[in-house]
Parts: sequence; structure tokens; C-alpha cells
Amino acid sequence: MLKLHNLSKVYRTDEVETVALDNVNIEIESGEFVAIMGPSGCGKSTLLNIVGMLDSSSSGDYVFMGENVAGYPESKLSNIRKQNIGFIFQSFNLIDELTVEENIELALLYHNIPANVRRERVAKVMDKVGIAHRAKHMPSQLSGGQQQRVAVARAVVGDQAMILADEPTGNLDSAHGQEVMEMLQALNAEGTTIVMVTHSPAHADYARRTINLFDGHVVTENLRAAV
Amino acid sequence: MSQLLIGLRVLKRQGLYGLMAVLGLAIGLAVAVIALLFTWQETHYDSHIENADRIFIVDSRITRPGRTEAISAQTPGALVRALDEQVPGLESAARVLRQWSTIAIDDRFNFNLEILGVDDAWLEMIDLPIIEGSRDGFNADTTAALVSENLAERLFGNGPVLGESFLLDGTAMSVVGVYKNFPATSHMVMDLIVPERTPAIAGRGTDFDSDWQRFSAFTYVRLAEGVSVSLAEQAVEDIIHQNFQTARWLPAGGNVADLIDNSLQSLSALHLNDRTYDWGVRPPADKLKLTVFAAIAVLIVVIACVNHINLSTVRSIERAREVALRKILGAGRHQLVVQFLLEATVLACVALVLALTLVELSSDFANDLLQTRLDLSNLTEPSFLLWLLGLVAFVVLAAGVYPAYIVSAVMPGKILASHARGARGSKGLRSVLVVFQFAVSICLAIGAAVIWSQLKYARQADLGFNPENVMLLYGVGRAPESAIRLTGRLDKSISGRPGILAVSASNSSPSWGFVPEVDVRLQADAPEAAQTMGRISVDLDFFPMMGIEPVAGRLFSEDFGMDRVQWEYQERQGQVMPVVLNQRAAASLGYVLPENAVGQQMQFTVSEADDRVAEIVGVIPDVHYKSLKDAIQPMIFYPDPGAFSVMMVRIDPNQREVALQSIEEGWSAVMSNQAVSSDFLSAALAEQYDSEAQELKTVTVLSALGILIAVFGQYGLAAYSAQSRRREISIRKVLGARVRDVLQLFIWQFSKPVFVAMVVAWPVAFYAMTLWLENFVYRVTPNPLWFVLAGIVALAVALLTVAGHAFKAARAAPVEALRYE
Repeated sequence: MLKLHNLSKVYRTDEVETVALDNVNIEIESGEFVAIMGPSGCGKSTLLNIVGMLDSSSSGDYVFMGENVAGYPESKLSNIRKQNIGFIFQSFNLIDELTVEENIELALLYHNIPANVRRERVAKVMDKVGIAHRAKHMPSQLSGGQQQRVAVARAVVGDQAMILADEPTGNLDSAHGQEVMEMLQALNAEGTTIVMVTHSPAHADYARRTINLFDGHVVTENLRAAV
Repeated sequence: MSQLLIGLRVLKRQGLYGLMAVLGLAIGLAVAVIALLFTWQETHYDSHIENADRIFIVDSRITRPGRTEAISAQTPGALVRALDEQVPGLESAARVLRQWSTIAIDDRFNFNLEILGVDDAWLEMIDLPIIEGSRDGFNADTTAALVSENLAERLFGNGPVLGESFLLDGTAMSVVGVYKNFPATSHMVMDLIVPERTPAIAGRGTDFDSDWQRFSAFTYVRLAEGVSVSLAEQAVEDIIHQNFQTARWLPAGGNVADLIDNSLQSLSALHLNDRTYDWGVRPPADKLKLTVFAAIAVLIVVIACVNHINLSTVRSIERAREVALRKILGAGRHQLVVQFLLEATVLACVALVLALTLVELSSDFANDLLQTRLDLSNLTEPSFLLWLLGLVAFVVLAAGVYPAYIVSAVMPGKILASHARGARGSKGLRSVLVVFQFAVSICLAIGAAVIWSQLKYARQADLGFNPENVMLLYGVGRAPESAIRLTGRLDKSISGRPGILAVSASNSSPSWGFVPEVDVRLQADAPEAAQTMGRISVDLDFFPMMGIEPVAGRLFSEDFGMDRVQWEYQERQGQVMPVVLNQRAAASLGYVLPENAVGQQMQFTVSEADDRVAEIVGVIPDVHYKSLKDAIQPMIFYPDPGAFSVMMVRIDPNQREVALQSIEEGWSAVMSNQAVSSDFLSAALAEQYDSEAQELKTVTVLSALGILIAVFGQYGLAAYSAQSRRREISIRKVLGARVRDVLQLFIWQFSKPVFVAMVVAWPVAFYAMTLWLENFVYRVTPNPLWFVLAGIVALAVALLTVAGHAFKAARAAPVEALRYE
């Protein structure tokens, strides 16, 4: 699916140079479920953003589906991103002014899909995550778990091959957290590649492989036995 | 004090926001100050004259049956001698005579000027402020002269003035005093004051002391304090009615009291009454102009405040944390409101100082725009300062209270705990305000377009004659017999000189907007069938000179004895006079086909003493002898050189300079003691629309100002929006939105209010401009294109203003916003 080769990210201000990622080499196969762990400031989110093409690397190669995208212009990255990658955030990042349905539809809005097809797909995915009865509600009227379910629906409605989840359970209580993890697992079982940043070892256990980061380096990679 | 400091610091820290807020407010205030100054001046005419409320001009309203009513600020000259104790409370009565005369000093000066001939009572009454010399015993010497500072400088430069002499209509006069310039806000323009018995006035042959026939003199009275003006007014009117000699135009069995109405108009009220006098007194304040201008000024101040409200509430997003902290530290809402009001006051004061500077810098421009002379020294008048104070208070309240209320309402816990959002509840109001700003600007822009196109139409319309390259020579009006001689001699003297194509004369120029009237009826009709028509006396060259062709019959010509004989004052008596009608006159006499009118005889009655038999010899098209504001009236052209008062000379445009020189020479060969006073007909015609041109300027400037201020507001809103929508935009970008998609969002957001504004502005502008166009009988219809165009301009301005922020927001990397929100 993707391959990072000697990938580095350096933040520069006038006085300080901060190395966020230092010669990272990671390979993720299609259909994998990978958890990325590590203490705050270790570079997890930076890594996820680069993988999600929201940010660019300072050096190294990033081969995504056989294409080296390092150094691609924003417009090209944006195109690859919207075809293939879905995002789930810790703070849900739903748009307050739009209904549940509209929030999900947003992910299809920029794909040139006719309106009736969009509605069909949104309805289908809402059923799948069990949020259909809340279609016309505003995000502020939903619980955290429900909001994250909307966010998951939004991430997959475009049939994305890969989902990047940045602490998807960070803002949820344990019951809702588990609910979301099970949903991700089910998606993975259907063939979606999932890369998840998390602090929770329990939730990392849902993944087949865990990558531990420390100060911008990959320190360990643990492969879990098949469930 | 510390709060004042915070206010200044806040202003400084806000940088561009602060600058926008202050500048926007300053522009609004500058307009308001100019509006206040103008209104103040218009309502304080002659306030420099002590007791202006007790000094009155006696005016006369003359109503002759079947004629347009005339309102004059003059009375018969003999009135002042007849005023006595019959008038209750009369303290003093004075007379002023006013006329045009020629001033000359050697070869250096020779120009026409309106002069005042006064008695000593008048000098005392208005207490003429002498700064050099003296006015004591002024009337003892008939060649004494008082000159204004202006005239003194014009005539003598910086040299000595007292004792210097000049020629007034040929008589040597000697300057005995210089008086302080009268302000522009006085009912009369007066640069030269002479004794009423000075040769230049007395030499013209009227004995004013016994004149009870003509309205020839300005009569001033001063009444004691507290007396009834209406009683005095009645007494003055009675005296006039008793003495007036009307034999010439009093209808049989008529009563003088029905013809003449007199009233006393105090100097302090003169400018605000509704009377437009025929001559001598400045036209009254244009109340419509005052109202419209004041209304627009208020609108601009309101827009500026609206803008300030917008910027302030937008700012609250940044102030939310400060407010929350202050609240946690124990500040009550009341204290916060005071703090924000103080800040608003600081801002308003800074803006006021800026505004006053702007007023100072733009005063010439404003003078031109308002056709006035703003006296900036009025700014320090106590009563004016009060107005200014009120204005600042208004701005502080209008622009300070709402933001103070909103910002201070922020709940501290919410702000500190979560991502700072600032006040949100004001979104609806903000949109309304933005719509309002753009609606006003669009209205004004449409107004400017409509006025512009009507002006263009009026100035380029085919008037039915060719006004280009025609010079008007004024000042040839005389008693009939001498007018015939004078215009004849001038014609001969100017004709044939190089550059002169044709010379003609008339009793009225098309640029005067005034056509004298005559009663006419067909010979066959009963006297009751008489109609009132306009009468234009012209010479034989008039029609060819103006390029007017007949539609039926013939024009005047040397070839016809009945035409020629009109130049013989004695022989023409009792002869049938040839006349030419315009088509409208022919139609209103019953001849729809002009040919049928030719050859008809009719009675031509100017007055009882001037009643002639006329024969229609020709009919011409309906030419515009008045401005396009007035309908073309039935008009009769007749060859009466005795009525001429203006010469018209067509010059060769290729030899302009030579032709002007020829006119000068031809004129002075006949009129050695009177300077030529002339004008181009086309320029004089254009002046008919000066007030509209002025309105165009005003509306254009105001709409530009309105848009400018709206731009400031728009800019602030765009910044706010870009800030508060960061997260949403990031989400959209993560989901695949391109820069183009985000820009579209912004464009739509900022276009919507402009579209709504258009919908609001269009009917209002259409209604207002339809009303305005009704001033013109001949007018354009508002073109829908202007409405669309005004909207497009507003839209373009709105979008250009937000473009910067929109681009920045659209191109920002999405991660940042998502991570920290």
C-alpha cells in the first residue's frame, strides 16, 4: 500500500530547528491494521499527516500505491488524498452548521458524484454505522460516540482504501471507545487499510501490528499473532 | 486613566483593524461635520448683524390677473419717507437702491459691479463695521464711497485706499472708508456702498422719493423689541395700498389691495423663508437640498457606526480571553461595559481629530460640492461645539454600546475551557448591517448614473436651434425708443468685422429660463377667448442666425415692408405687426395644420397701453426656449426692437480670438462707458443644469464614500470569517476541497448580502430616481443596465476586498487548525 524510505521532517523557525521525524522507514501492506504509539511529541501526528498527505516531508521518499508522491504539488496530493484516504480525528471535526447527513455527504461533494448517487451512498453508510435515525440532527445534538460514528461514516463513504485515525477514541468514554474500535475492526475485515495513532495499549491491540515511535525514530515494531 | 491607556494600547495593538475602525469612523465623522457646518451656516444667516431678528425687509407679492405671481424684495422708493408713527414700534426706516454700474480706473480696470446706494439710517441700522476711515456723515458728500476689503484689495492692491479715487459710471468717486467683508452667509452681496444721491444713481433719472409706481427700492425697518410684527406689517401694507399709483395696470374696477401683498421678513428668517425674490436677495436655503444632504450625512455616519460595530464585535473573538480573565478576577459586567465604552470614546476622539483634519483638507472640495463657502471658524462657536459633542456622544453610544454589551456577555468558563470562539449571537444583525451598507451604496450609485445620463441627455438634446458659437451680449435693454437706436448702432458696429458671421438681438435668451408673456386671441374670437403665450421679440436675422427653418409660411425678412417698418418707432404705430408662431401656439389657436394659421390676424395684447393687431406670417417647429425641465409653451416671435435686451452674435469657430476681439471693438465703439458683458450661449445653456451637475457630484462623492466605508467593514468581516471558519475549511480540505472550492465558499458568503442589498436597493432607487426625473419634462427613462451595473460594481468591490483573506484561508495548510482546535 505505502512505503516510507528514509523519511525526515524538520521544522525550522528563526532560531530553532526541530527534527520531528528522523529517517523513518515504514512499509504498510494493503489491508493491514497498523497502530502507531509513542509518548507526546514523538512525531506520531506528524507521521500520520505526512502519510495522509496533509503535510509534506523534508527529505526521503513516500511511495503510495506505487507512486513516489514526495514533492508532489498540493493540488496533486489533494487529488490522490480524496480518492484514497479517509480521516478520523480525536475531536471528530464535524462542521457545526451542517446536519449529520450533510457532514457525511461533504466527503462526496468534491468527487463529482451526482446528487442522487451521493444520497444513496450516504444513506447506506449511515445504516452501516447505525446513525440513520439521527440523519437530520446537528452534531451538537449528538453524544461523542455518535459524533465519532458520523466521522467514521464520513471517512468511508467515498470507498477509501485507507483510513487514517488520529486518536479516534481520545475524547470518548471506554464503552463508546470500544464501539468505535469494533467498527474500525469490521472495516478492516472488509479490506480497508487502517493506520491509527493511539495512546491506549488496549485499543492498539485491535491492530495487527504496532509501531512504536520515540523522538522521531521507529524504535520497535510488534507483530501480533492473527486473531 | 488606566482605562484610557488600555484604550490607546488596544487601538495600537489592533494594527490594521484599529486603523480600519478609526479611518472608517473618521471619514463618516468628517462628512457629518461638513453637514453640520453647512446646516449651521444655512440656519445662521446674517447672525453677524446685531438685532437681525428685529430688522425687516419689506417685500411685495404682486398678483396680476392672468399673470404669474411676482415676489420682490423691493417696494416703491417713496415708501421709506411715508413710514411714520402709524407703524407701531417703528424705530428706524432705511432705503437701499441697488444697480449695476461700471467701475473704471485709468486703463487698469473697467468692469461691471452691483452697487448699493444707501442712506445714513441704513448704515446705522446694520451697524456697518468700518475697519479703516469713517462712515460719519456719509451722505453729505455724493461722491464718497465705502468699499469692502475685497474690493479695496482688487482695486488698490496693498497700497493706500483712503482718499483714492475711481470712476463710477464716469463720475469720480473718493474712498472714505473700508468695511469688513460681509460673510457669504448674508442676504446681500455688497462690495461697494455709495450715497443714494450719487450721480451714478441719481443720474438715471428716477426720483425715488416720489416713486409710488415701481418696485424700485429695498426698504428696511427696525422694530422695537416685543412689538407685534403682524400689526406693523399691516400698517406698512396699508400705507403702500393708500399711496400706490397703478393706473397703468390696475384692471377696471380693481383694487390695489388685491394686487399687492406686503410682508415684513426679518433678516434672521430671510434665508429660511420660502420666497425666491426676483432680484437682489440671495436665493433662500434650498430646503430639499438641506434635508437630502442631512439625511445622506446621517446615513453615512450610521454606516460608519455600523462598520465600527462590526469591527468591534469581530474583535471580540480576540478579546474574549481578556474579558473572561477580567470576569474571573472579579470584574462585573457593568465595569466591563464602562471599559468598552471608554475604549469607544478614545477611538471616537481619535477619529474626530482625524475627521477635523480631513474637513480642513477637503474644505475647498466641499465648498465646490455644496456651492457654499464653509467658514471653518464656526467650528469654535460654542453652540457648534455643543453639536460636535452631541455627535461624538452619538457615535460612542451607537458604536460602543452594542459591542460592549456583546463582548461583556461572554461566559468566562466557556472561553477558557474550550477553543475561543468569541461572541456568536450577533451574526444575524451583522448580516443586516452589511446588507444595509451595500444597499445605500448601490442606491447612491444608481442615483449618480441616472443623474449623469439625464444631464448628458439635457446637454446634448436637439433644442431646435444651433447654440454653438453664439455670443450673448448683455446690458442693451433700454426704454423702447433708445433700445431701437442702441441695438441698431451696435448691430452695425459689430457686423462685418472679422470673425463675425451674424448679429441678432432679442428680448430674451433661451438660457434665461424666462419668457415674458402676452395675451392673444384670433380677431374672430371673443375677448374672453384670449390665451396667454410666451413672446420673444427678435430681429430680422434671428431665425437664420439660430438655424431655425419655418414649417409653414415665411420668416422675418428685409424684403417685407411690414417687417422693416417695425424699426421706425413713430411709423409703426397702428400698423399690422407680422408674427411667427411655434407649432404649439398654432395648435392652441386651433390650427393643427400650421399652413392654415398663416395669414390669420390676431390681437396681441402685452398691456392695455401696448395692444396691437398682428398677422401670422409663418410657423416654426417647437424649439426649446427654456430648459428641458419645462414643457415647451406656445410662443410668439415678433419683430419689436424696442423690447431688445440681449444681442446674439454668431462667430466663426475657426477665428474665435479674432471674433472676440471684433466684438470688443464693435461694442466699445458704441458703448464707450460700459464694459461689454458677454457669455457663450452654449455655456449659459449648460448653466441651466448647474444644480443637477452639482447634485451629480454630491451623489457620486457620497456613493464613493459609502462604498469606501463599506469596504472597511467588509474587510473586517472577511478577516473575522477567515478566522472563525478556519477549522471548517480545514475539514473541507482534508475531505478533498480544492483552493477553488474554498474560494467559492467565500465568494458565495460575501456575495449573498450584496445580492440581497441589490434586491433592496433597486426598488428604492427606482422610486427615488423616478421622482427626481419628474423635475424634467423631457427626460430619459432609467436604464435597467445602470441598476445591474451598480450591483456588479458593489459585488466586485465586495469580493476584491475579501479576496486577500479568502486566498489566505483557502491556501492555509489544513493540519494546524485541526490539531489545535
